[in-house]
Amino acid sequence: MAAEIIRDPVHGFVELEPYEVKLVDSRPFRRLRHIKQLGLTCYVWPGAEHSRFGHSLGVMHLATRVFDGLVGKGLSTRLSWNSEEQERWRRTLRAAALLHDLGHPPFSHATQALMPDDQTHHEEMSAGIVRSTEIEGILKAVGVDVEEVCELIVGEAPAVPQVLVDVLSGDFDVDRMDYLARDSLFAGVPYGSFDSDRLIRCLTLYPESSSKDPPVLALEIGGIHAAEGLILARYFMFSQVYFNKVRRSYDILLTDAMKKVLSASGGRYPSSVDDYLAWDDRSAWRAIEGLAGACNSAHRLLNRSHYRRVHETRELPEASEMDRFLRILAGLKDKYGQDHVIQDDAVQAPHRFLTSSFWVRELDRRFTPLDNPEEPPSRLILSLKPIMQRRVYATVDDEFDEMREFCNSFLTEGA
Amino acid sequence: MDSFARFEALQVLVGTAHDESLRVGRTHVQKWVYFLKRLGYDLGYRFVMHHYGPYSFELASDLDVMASLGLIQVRRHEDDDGFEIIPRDNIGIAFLTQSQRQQWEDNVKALLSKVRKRPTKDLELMATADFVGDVRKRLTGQTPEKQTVFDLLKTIKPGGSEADYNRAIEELRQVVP
Repeated sequence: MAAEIIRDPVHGFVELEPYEVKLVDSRPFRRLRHIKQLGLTCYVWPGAEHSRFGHSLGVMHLATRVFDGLVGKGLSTRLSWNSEEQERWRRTLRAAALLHDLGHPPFSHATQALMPDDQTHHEEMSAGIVRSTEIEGILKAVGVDVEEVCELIVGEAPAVPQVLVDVLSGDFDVDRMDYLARDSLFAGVPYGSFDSDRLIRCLTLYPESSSKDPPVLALEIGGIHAAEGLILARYFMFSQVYFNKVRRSYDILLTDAMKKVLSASGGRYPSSVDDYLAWDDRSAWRAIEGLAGACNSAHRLLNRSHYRRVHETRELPEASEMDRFLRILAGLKDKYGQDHVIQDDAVQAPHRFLTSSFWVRELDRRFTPLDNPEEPPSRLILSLKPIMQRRVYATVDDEFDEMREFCNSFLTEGA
Repeated sequence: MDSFARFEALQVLVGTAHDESLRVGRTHVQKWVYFLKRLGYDLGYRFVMHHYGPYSFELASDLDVMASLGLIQVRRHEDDDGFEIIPRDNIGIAFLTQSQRQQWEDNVKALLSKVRKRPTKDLELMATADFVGDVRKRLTGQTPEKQTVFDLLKTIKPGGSEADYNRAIEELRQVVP
């Protein structure tokens, strides 16, 4: 019996058990209300004001749907779970899904380069928060193993079934399913839509029940077009929204301003969980406001005055175009000075099937790897190429027109 | 590390292995980069437990990007169903300094000299043994007993034999002391 039902704009009703209400009301989870999902994307798409709070609820909801679907396809039998163990793993997965983003820094991915050290990504910070705040006690009180939750969040999995790691962080994971639908809805762009109902219904287990290898997440062939839809949605969301030239400019400015805000701690967020949790978008913004007179990046952020792009490659440049980009960059630096230009690389593969394995169950129950060159279950997916777009921005507004002219002449002269 | 510096480092890895007549598959690259990270030569990739042991989604993505840019070629191996990665033209522009490149190449050669004859399955087991041992050490603050690593390995990779697990744990010590 759900203790609380929340109306979510993406998924409709999301149910919470009593202990999950406590998790949602905890200080670390409340903080997620003040971590925007997409940083300052709202400077470009004003609707994109949504937060990690709603996303986390959505991921928990979808994880549960996938889990229940897999149980219907024999997950418990394959893993020799009795009904109590099945319920325990369901709770563990729900908790991990709900708490997986606790460790995001202010403005989400925009300032992730400033995590306390190079080995601490937001997932490790999420696990640290689970272990060392009131969340640990809430989970223990209902018999959920805190370390299993942390392993699922971090993806380390020595003690949790691989298939649950796949549900939370695999090629067709629930994190991705939620953020594409949610970001698309709030930004007001249609690119992130795909048939999640069909996709979830068609997720299955590989290998079949006769194998002693532990099962991993796979797809029934009936869901291949829904899977294509998700991959295309991701491709378009990256190319149209996440890698938008203005949005990326604000990421650069946020990182620079926050590095100055955090100068006392070496330009990074603090490593202690308590001190880290004190940072959210609100406290970060107040600190940025405090710097406005002394920091150009802070001034620009407060006045919505981003760097402007003077040149960029196509989304997947040929080697000759990349070479030309580097010569233009060198020319700009030489003529205007190193500090007058900033380079940005937007890199993302729409899928990883060329370099990883994902299995599709054909109608005859045979499993085929998605990257099978002779009989690929989806030629569309394999034909998509990664995005590798390189840009250069002008940091001095007065030089922008001249720099553009410099780039244009470089291009027209075929230098 | 800049994306292109990582691409260059991966090109050096693939090229060096190829020059030494080693089969370079997707799993090999994943495990070699993992071991290099564990030895302190970190390209900045984050590894999680995946179907064939420690795995970096970012590294997989970078290999896709490199293949699309023509910096490597990923193709079916002529003798079996597996894939092999073939080095292609150099990037043409150095992103690593000469000393960085030389040091990285030396580290790659040192690693390959230790793992060169290991089949993929052994590499998977060794890397998995190291990964679970490292996770356990971080959780408890103590290096786990061999039996603990053995038990974890058996749980995660039930398809192996006891001799496989023992050999993986022993041989791992020669790679990551």
